[in-house]
Amino acid sequence: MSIKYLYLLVVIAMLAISSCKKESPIVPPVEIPPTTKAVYVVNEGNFGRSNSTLTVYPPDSNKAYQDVFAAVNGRNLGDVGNDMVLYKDRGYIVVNNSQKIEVIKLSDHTSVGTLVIPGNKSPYKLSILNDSKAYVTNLFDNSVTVFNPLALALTKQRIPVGLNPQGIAAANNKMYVCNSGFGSGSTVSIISTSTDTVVKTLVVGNAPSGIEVDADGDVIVKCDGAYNDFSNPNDDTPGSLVIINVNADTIAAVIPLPLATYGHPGRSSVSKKGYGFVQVNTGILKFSTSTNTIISDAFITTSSYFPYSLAVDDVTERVYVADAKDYVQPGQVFIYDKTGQQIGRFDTGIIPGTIAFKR
Amino acid sequence: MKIFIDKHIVSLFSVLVFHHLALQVIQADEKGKDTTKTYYLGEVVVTATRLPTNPKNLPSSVEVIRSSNIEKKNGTSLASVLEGRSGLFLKSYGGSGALQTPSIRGMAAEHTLVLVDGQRYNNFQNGQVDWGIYLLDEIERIEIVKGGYSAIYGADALGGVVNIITKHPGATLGLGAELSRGSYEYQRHGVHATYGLGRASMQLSLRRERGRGDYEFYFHDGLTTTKMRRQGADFSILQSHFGMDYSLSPIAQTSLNIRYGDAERGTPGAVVTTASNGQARQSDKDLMTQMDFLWNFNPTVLLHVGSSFHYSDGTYIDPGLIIGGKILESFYTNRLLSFTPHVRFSPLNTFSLIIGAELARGSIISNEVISAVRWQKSLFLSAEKAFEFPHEILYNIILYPSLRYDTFSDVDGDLSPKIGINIGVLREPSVHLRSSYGKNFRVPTFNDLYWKVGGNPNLHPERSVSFDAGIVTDFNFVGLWEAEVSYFNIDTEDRIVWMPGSNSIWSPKNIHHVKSTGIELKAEWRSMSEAFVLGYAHTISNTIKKNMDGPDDQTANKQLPYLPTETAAFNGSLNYGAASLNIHHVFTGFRYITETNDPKFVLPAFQKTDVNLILRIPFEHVIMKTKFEVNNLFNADYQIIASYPMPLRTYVATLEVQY
Repeated sequence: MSIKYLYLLVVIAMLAISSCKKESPIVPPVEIPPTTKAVYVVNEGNFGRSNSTLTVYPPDSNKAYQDVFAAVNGRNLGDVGNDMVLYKDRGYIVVNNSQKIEVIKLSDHTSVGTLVIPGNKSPYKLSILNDSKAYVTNLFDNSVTVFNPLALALTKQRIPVGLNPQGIAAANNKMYVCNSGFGSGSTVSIISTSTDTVVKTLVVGNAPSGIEVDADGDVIVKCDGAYNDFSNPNDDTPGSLVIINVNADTIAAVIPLPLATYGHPGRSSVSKKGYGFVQVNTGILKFSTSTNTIISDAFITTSSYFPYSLAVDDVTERVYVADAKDYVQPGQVFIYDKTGQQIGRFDTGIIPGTIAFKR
Repeated sequence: MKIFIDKHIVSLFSVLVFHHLALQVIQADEKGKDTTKTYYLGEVVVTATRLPTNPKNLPSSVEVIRSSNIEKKNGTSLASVLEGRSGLFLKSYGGSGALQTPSIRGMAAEHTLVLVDGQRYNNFQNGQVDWGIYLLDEIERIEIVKGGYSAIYGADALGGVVNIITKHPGATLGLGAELSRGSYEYQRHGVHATYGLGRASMQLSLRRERGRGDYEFYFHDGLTTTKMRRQGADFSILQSHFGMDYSLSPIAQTSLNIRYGDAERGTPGAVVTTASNGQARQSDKDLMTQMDFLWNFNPTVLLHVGSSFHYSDGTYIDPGLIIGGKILESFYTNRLLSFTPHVRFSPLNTFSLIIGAELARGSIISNEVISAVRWQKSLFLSAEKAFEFPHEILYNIILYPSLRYDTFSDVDGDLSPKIGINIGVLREPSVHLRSSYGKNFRVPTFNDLYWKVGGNPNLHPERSVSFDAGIVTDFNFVGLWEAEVSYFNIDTEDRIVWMPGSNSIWSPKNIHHVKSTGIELKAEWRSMSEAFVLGYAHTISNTIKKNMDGPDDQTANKQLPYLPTETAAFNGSLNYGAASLNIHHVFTGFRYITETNDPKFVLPAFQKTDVNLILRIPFEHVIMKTKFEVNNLFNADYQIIASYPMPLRTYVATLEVQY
């Protein structure tokens, strides 16, 4: 569908050009608008069952292709796929409990190779800096591993960071790592990508887990807030969105998320168009990354399901929200337009946890 | 060959004979200690009704595994001995020392009530018993009754009841020692002694079993197969037992049994890569103390007071799982004290009535579970009424009504009725029809109610209705044949399932409706001299989740994961003089890994064969026994639970000396 659409645009553009030719011999260059060619969903599957899968959804189609990795490569993806990063013509899928990163060609989804992260570190989230450096957090090793994403070769096995690192993002030639501590952490480790050492540890809020870079180049850290004693709801601390200035590596702003209104936040996603989203008790909250304020408590209402993950597509400004249902049956992804209206949905595998876009 | 004499024919004997047998009947009561073979009147089981009854007269199927059967199987754990029984599937997480839990008639481990000499062994924390580390020591027999038994035993007896019945101490001096060596540094050392002194007889046994557990297996990543060794699965299990019987008078007897078990083992978890090397370890300490008192007032009235104290202490540490800078460490201490008096009236030879009560107090202290105490108060009533007819066809009808009422201090209780019937259709060859129907329940465990992260104190019991019907026959034709076929149906409402909620915190809910149905077939042939014994068991069953958790629920009407729809087992025994050659072959059908029954994620069917050769060499007062076991003779590559590989071929050699 997308290729046909692209072809149609080119034909229309050619016709427009040819029709203009007679009137004006000077033709401005034609800009083909970027399109989203595919939406990838990594489904975690159930821990220990090695039933993680990859779903591919061509936008605006009525069909999602399930378990694409196994269909193309003749083997299962592995145990608990936790992240997918698209870089150039490749897709990098972090398979947490299989201790590996599977790399596929985006053109046909064939395997390019498998990078095993040694030492049962439990690789979790990935950020690719450039052709020679990629960084993956190790959930149960309190470290980050560096590898060459093209050669699929380890560069540095361990950069020690804080407790139970989760999200990681690249900005200003540095890597910013959320030290979640599964609730007990409260810092972001900042790694210099030239020396691959931690140059600063910044206190943010309780349980930082998600991290992305906004349109201004700032780093947005989503803190979940701590549960402390799970049997005591009165000792919880609230979540927040913490904005880091990447030049000074200081906190530029904080958007508090009071517990009474929002509960503990779930997943977040930040657009390069000046806004971001985070899942809270009121629904999908929209916030401005230019003013660092809340735009809407419930940009999307999700009362009929518990959103498990979400991602915003910068090109179409559509928001994709995943429902993992009961975690044992295939989930769904709901598609919302930039006004928050649901415009579609598609089926996924079990526990759709990561959504990525091919353009 | 045992002579099978129907209990109700026996009951026509004179009162004098009955009185003469009274003490032996006492001994065959809940503790079932029928070592006095002189008075042993055919096959008698006690678990199904609390009355000593011939299995073919019962209203539902029962499996009896005697010590002689136990000896002919490989392994020493409860799991290894009961593998392959009809209607029973073992969920095994590895080789020796690994977690093994039962599924009877498609139900879960917490739906199987384990009794030791008639007293509850399951704790209230998770309701499960690890059959992998329960070593069988000084066992007279094990009885497995299948189907719902809440009307007899109360909570948790939804799938079935397993009663482990201890041997009586001998009246004279007996000594024994055993030594085993096997693959991967498997070792077993054991000693036992029995001694009689006046009115008392005692026995003491001590057994230690250990091994590296680093067995070979195949790992498949979909493209390549790698032969690997299991890592971090070493184990060391100590089990000791002291038993004493004391005869207070010719009609009163008391007994004391103290068992202590200590298991230290690696629990390395799933193998999902060639580098998997889980470092988790588990330590379990278990003390079970029981005291029983039997008093036969007169030939028609028997008082039995059973009491037990079960202490279990578990610790789980995973150095590879560091959360918030701390290694994951969980500890649990459970205490269960129970007191079960009951009186049996047998005013007529064709009528018996049991009235009893149970008072229990269970508690838990743990860093994962909120400390809790549960009091249980129960009353039960069951009867056996036989109608005898002087015919060759339709010669008797026996009814088994039962009723039990259980209350708990922290959760709802329930009233559990059951009715069973057995019809003697033909006297020779013996053909009996039987059926039972009853209500059963399982109380939420301490984990369900009080787990600090997500426990739900508002749960109520799971409730089931169970029905079974079958036919059982035995006859002589070039040996003794026994065969039975049973149909079962267990319909469980409000089954407790842990589900994800907001913020991805899991919490249990009374949400599932599960229906388990199936047919069990078992048959055995023994030559007249028992030189040849052949047995076969086959089970076809479905355990289906019936409800919709939400619209378009793709797990509705699907088979529960990990449960096969078909299993079969073949046993063969060739006995010649001092030698015995035994073979045990099991077939397990494919199993789905996912709740959606995705055909891409299945565990394939497998067949596994175990064999052993036993030689007995008498030498004056000493008997020397050697046993050579081969497990998984044909190197079957299989898993019961996804990513938990099972061992390839292993060997064990044992030398035992008995005085």
